[in-house]
Amino acid sequence: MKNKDLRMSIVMMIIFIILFALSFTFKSSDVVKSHTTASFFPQVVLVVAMFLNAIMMYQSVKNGPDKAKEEGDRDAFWRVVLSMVAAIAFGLGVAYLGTLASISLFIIGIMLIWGVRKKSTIALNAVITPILIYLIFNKILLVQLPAGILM
Amino acid sequence: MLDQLLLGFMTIMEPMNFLAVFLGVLGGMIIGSLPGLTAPMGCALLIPFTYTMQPVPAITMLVSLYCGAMFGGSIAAILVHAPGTPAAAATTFDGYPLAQKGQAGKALGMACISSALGGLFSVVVLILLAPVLADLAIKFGPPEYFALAIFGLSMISSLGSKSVVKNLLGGTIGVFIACIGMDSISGFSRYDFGITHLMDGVSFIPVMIGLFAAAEVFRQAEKGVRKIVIDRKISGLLPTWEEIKSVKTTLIRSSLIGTFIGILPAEGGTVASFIGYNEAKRFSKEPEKFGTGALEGVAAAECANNSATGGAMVPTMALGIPGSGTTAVILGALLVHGMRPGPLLFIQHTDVVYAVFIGMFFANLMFLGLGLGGAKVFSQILPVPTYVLSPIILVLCVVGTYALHNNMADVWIMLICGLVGYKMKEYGFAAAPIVLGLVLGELIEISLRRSLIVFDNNAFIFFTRPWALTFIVLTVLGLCSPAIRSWVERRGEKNKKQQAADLQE
Repeated sequence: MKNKDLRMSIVMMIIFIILFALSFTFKSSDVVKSHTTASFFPQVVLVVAMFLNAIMMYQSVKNGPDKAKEEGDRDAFWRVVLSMVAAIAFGLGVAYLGTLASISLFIIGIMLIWGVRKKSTIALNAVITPILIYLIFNKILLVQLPAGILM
Repeated sequence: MLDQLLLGFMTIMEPMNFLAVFLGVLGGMIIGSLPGLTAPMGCALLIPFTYTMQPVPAITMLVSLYCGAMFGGSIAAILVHAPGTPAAAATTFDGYPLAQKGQAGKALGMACISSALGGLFSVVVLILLAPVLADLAIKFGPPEYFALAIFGLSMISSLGSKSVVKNLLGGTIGVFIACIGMDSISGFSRYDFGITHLMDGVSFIPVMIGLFAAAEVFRQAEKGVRKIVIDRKISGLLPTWEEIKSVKTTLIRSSLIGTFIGILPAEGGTVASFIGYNEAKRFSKEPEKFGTGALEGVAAAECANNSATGGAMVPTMALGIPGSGTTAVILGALLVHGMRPGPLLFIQHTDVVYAVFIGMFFANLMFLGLGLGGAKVFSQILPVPTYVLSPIILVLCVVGTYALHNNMADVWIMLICGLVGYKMKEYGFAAAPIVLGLVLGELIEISLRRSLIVFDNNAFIFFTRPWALTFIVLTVLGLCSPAIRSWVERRGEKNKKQQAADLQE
C-alpha cells in the first residue's frame, strides 16, 4: 500500500529545507536593514511553504495509505515516458539539427509512440506542420528559428 | 468615459483589430470545443503569435479567444458529454440529455444565446466598474497592495484542485519561483545556481506554456490513440421566443452570479457555472426536470460561465490581480507587451484599455453569430484525433517559447515545467494556483518590502490602514471558508440524521 501524498510531501520538505539553507548564502549589503535583504522574502515564502507542506504531511498520515490501488497501465506509462523523451530530444534537435527537420522527426516519432500506424497520416502531418510553422513564424511573425547544422 | 469608449470603438473597427477579434473568437471556439484543450492553454499558446503585434490586436485577440473558448466548451459538453473546457462541466447535466432526446441543436442554440447575453452583461459591468475600481486603487500604497495581493492569492484555495492545502502550496511555490533571479530592491542574485539566464528571473510565458499546454500533451499521451464519434444530428438551432422568455429570470440571475464570481480574484467560470446551475435549480418551478434535459439548466450554466469572463477582467485590468487562470495568462501577455495591469494602466494606456473592452463586447456578439451559424461546422472538429493535435501543440509550445527571447533556455524551462506540471497533476496539484502565485509573486514581495522600508519595519501597518485591514480580514475569511463550509455541511448532515432518528422513534 502506498501513500502518494506522504511521499510527495517528504520530497518537497527536503527541497524546501535545502532552498531555505541556500537563502543564507545570498549576498547582502551591511548598510541595508534586515527586511530589505535579498534573502528575507524567499525565507518567508519557504517558511509558509514548509508549514503548508507539514499540514499536507499530517493529513496524508491521518488519511492513511491510498485506498484505490494504482492500476498500472504499462502501455500508458511507457507512452508518457517516451513522449517526454521525444520532447527533450526535440528540444535538443532544435538546437543542433534545426527547427524544421526536428519538427518532422518529432512528429514521426511521437505518432509512432502513440500507436498511429497509418503511414499517410504520419507523412502528411510530418510535412505540413513544419511548412506551416516556417510560414507563420519565419515569414509572418519574422522570428528567426534555429537553423541548426542542416541549413 | 463616452469619448474613450467611442475611441475604443473606432480602434476596434480598424481592419486589423477587427480581424484579431474574429480570429480570437474562431480560435477560442475551436479550442473550447476540443476536450482537453482549455482556455488558459489556448491563450498561453497564442501569446507567441502576438509578440510582433501592436498591443490592441494582441490583447483583444487573447480576450476574444477567452470568450470564444468559454462558449466553445459547450459544444463538446452537449454533443459528446465531455466538457470542452472545465467551465462547461455543468452544461453536460442537461445539454447531453437534450442531445439524447434529439434536441442537440436547440441545446446548442440556447447555450450560444445565453453565453452571449451573459458575456455582454459582464462586459457592461466591466466597462462601468473597472475604471471606478482603478480610481480607488490609485490611492493604494504598498501596504494596501500587499494585502490585496495576499487576498488574491488566498482565493486560490478554491481554484483547480479539490485540496485547499495543495492549492495554497501550489500558489506558494508560484510565489517562490517569482523570487528566482535578481532581487529588484537590493540587486543581489537569488537561486540562479550560476546559470546566467536565471539571473533575469523566470519568465511567466515559458512556465505558463509548460504547465498549461505541454503538461496536457503528456496527459493525452496516457490515453493514446482515441477518436470521438458524433452520431447526433444537429438541426433547429434557434430556440423559440417562448423558450427564451421562459429562462429570462434565470439568465438575469446567472449573469449577476457569474459576473460577481468572476470579479472575485481567482474564482473563474467553473465555479460560476456550478453556482449558476444550482441556483437556477433551487429557484425553478420544476427542479425535478434538471438533469433530464432542461433548457433552463443549459442556459443557467452557460450564461454564468460566460459572464465570468467580463467579471474576471475587472480585477485583472483595474488591480493587476487575475480573476481566473486564463486572466493570469492575459496578465502575463499585458506584461510582455510592456503594460503593467493596475490603476496606472487606465491612465497610461487608456486607448488600449477601452479598445480591449469594446473588442470583448464584439467578441460576444461575434460568437453569437458564429455559434448559431456554424455550430454544425464546429461539431465536425470534435472528431479530430488527439494524436494529430497533440504533437502540433507540443511543436507550438517549443517554437512559441523560443520566439519569446530567441533563446533555447526558455524552451528548457518550458519543458521542465511541462514535466513537473504533468507529475504534479498526478499528485493532485493544479496548474492555475502556481501560475497565479508566479504572477502575483513580484507584487507581493515588492509591496511587502516597500511597506516595511517606508514604515520602519512596522508590521502592524497592515492592520492600521482601513483598506489593508479589510483585505487582511477578507483573506482570513477566504482561508477559513472551506473549513467553515465543511463544518456547516457536517452539522447539517448530523441534524438530518438526528431528525430522521427522532421521526423513527
